[in-house]
Amino acid sequence: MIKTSESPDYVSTTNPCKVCAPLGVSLAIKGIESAMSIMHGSQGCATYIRRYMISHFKEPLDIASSSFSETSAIFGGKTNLMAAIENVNAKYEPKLIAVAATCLSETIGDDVKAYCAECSKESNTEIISITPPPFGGAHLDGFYAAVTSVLMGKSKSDKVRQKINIFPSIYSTADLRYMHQLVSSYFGEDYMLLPDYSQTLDGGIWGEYVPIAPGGTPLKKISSAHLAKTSIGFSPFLKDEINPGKTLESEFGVDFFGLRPPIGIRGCDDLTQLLCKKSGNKTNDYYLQERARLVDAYADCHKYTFGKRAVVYGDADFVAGIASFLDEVGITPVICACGTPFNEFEKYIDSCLEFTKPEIVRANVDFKTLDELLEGMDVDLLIGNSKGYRISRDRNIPLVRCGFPIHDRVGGPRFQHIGYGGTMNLLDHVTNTILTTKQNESPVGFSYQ
Amino acid sequence: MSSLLLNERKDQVMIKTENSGSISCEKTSLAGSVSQRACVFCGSRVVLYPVADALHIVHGPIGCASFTWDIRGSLSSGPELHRLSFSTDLQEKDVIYGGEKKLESALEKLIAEHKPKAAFVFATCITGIIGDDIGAVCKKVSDKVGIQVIPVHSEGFKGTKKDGYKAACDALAKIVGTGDTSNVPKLSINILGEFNLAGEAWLIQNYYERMGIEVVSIMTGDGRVEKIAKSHGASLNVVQCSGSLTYLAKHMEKEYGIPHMRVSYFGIEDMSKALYDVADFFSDYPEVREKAEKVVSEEISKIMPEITKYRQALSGKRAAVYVGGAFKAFSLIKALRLIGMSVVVAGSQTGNKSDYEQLKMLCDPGCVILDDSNPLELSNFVIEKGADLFIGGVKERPIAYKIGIGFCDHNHERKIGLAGYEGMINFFKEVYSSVMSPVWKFVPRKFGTLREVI
Repeated sequence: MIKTSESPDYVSTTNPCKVCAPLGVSLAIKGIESAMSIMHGSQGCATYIRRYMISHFKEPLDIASSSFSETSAIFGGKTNLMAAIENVNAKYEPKLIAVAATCLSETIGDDVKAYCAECSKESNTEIISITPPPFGGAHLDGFYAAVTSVLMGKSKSDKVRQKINIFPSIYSTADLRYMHQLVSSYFGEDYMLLPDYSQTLDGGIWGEYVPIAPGGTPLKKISSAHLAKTSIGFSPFLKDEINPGKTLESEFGVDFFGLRPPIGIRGCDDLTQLLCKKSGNKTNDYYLQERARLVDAYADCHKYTFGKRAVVYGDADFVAGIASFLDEVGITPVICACGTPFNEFEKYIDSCLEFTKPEIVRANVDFKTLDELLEGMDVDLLIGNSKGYRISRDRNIPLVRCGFPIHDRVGGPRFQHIGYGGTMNLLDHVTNTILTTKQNESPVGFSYQ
Repeated sequence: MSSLLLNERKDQVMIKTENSGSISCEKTSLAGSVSQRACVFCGSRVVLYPVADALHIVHGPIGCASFTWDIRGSLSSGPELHRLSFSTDLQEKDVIYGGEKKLESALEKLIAEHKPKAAFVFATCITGIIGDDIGAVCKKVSDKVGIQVIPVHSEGFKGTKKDGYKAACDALAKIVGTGDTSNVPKLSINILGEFNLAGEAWLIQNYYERMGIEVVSIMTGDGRVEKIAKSHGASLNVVQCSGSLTYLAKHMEKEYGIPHMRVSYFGIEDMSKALYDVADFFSDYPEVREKAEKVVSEEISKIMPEITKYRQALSGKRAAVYVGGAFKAFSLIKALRLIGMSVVVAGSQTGNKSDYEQLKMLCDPGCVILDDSNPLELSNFVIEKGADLFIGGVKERPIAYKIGIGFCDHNHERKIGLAGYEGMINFFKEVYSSVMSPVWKFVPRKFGTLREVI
């Protein structure tokens, strides 16, 4: 039986399964060439976000703040924001500055958009305001809101630079690299991936400090996004106002396709078909073989995976993608839990499943609720970010760490989830976790499976 | 140096020379400078965090609670309520209609469920703006449930991280004095500003106990409400982290006549001084001093051979130090000197004038001294001064790695005890494994990129 998404009547959150929207904004902006973000609020917002993301990416994450004081909180933060923009310009010399509203600036009613417009007039740098839904929404909303605001706010070019725009969800840097490889195998250079932090948040040692890490989506391509023929997104139930592809479609007539997450054979096939169709090119041997290997691996693993029961938690796109993959190998995602309020979460999950049926699908869940839901349930593994470790340890259920954030292991950003290759990686991790448990629990400690 | 620094920051940086003047500090962070500091809320949250049997609830939107869930390596010997993250998770309608009812209901439910010995309610930017009367809600709930429910005035924008320390001290001060002190002996102290990272407080407590001194409360290290409540019965407050708990020490001096002294448990020299100073305070009991000498000599003789080994390997290497409180920087300079390493860049997020004066006296000529610095300045000076090692916190780590030098974590997340005599060896081992690792031989500045190599 599928229970409803309605959250129970409680008013506090214990051990949240979400972070705030400005974090998502900062992450998206890190994926744009020569861009800097300014959190328009207290110094803590920027610093906490940096600390949280550094622990995952293990890369520098310079995010500026307008450093509100009591005076700014009372009289508005305009003066501070102006100073912040000036100082960021002086020291970082970005080509684009994104100013994110925070809870504080929204509550006092600062008109960030107007401030940015005013600053833009006097500056050579493009300044774009981003005002994600400040409350209730979380990092994923901030992420998409940033992409949409940059697309719409950035000056437009009349030069066609790409045929297709790709709007990823919060993927790992390895995922983004894979997406580049995949899309360029059909479109050469004629595509845009926005955002793209594959290099900015997973780069080499510099030798000397570089103010803004190299890499990111080229600004020119963002300026030409409205002239592309097609856009693809991977969050089919995303609200229109923060959906970059939908917005481009309604404003500029760029055809938009909201695909399911490209995880698992079906999700990847959907993407492959669309790429073939839109590019007019055939899938090359590499991906044909990769898909063939994946199906072969599904066969190799099916006995270990079939009938197993997994709990998946995190942001909606992640949970839906992982559930879709589990469904294909016969693992039931018995609990699908999303940390934020999401009205269509159940529909989203349902659209990804064909062979299995979850027992609980619930949005707006914190880890305490998740733990309570697990009580008395027979579960073989947890799949999600490192914040589920506590439950995993207390209940002795193995955890497959993936998604964002991974704070207690290395390699989080290098974990590949998407595409045939990412699915293979997931399959190996999931199956080996099941095998490890089986081996550890065996009285004889067998050496062949 | 001039092109590197923003104009407004020029007087917050100086180089030690014969006639260098004083540094400017204790200012709010410059907008857009990418300060390494957090906010008022952060200051309060980290200080009170280790009180393990209290309920810590963040009254605000979710970010503040998410970012501070299980954030410190502060260990508890019993309850672990501090490791959970509670928040009222304010939504838009709460911002419009006020969050008092939500807070009240959250407190009642959570207190009934977790049965804490006290509750701390952290104010955030939002509750400061919408004008929730947190004090009134706390009082109402406290009257109803029979434990202290204490508002912490930690609105993020109301000053710097240091103001957060003060708000935390104000909250602790409300517990101090509420307990029974009849069983507290004369030979007793409180330890303030020790957070029991990786069990450090237990180590220190053991030293004092071997001197015949009872530690009444470590306040914020393996903290317990009951012990804090009777801490006013102690004869002396020993303050370890200079910035955070001094306010409470001063308050207790004024209110209860308990004198305080500043100590550091980091480094052999400072650790021994921390024991001797306490012994000398109880000079009416000469046996305490004797026992202290015995502790010091026993402990030092255990670690001396190891130190010699590290000194041979590390002598002449250079370090950069950027930490939260300035007192930690003093101890680091002295400790590094013990193994022949010099500090070429030294700075803190929250030092005051006299801290920086002392820092200047302590460090070698040419050392760059920084207040409230940022990644661009830090990286630049670290390279310019040819440091082999950077010592700092989570946000400094990738700076060090990107420029290709070793890094030691001296912050609140660490899992390795660095205090006391044992901690000294752990620290040198950390320094050794950071500086001597072969990986640095492969970084571009030394080894060249692939293009240069082939």
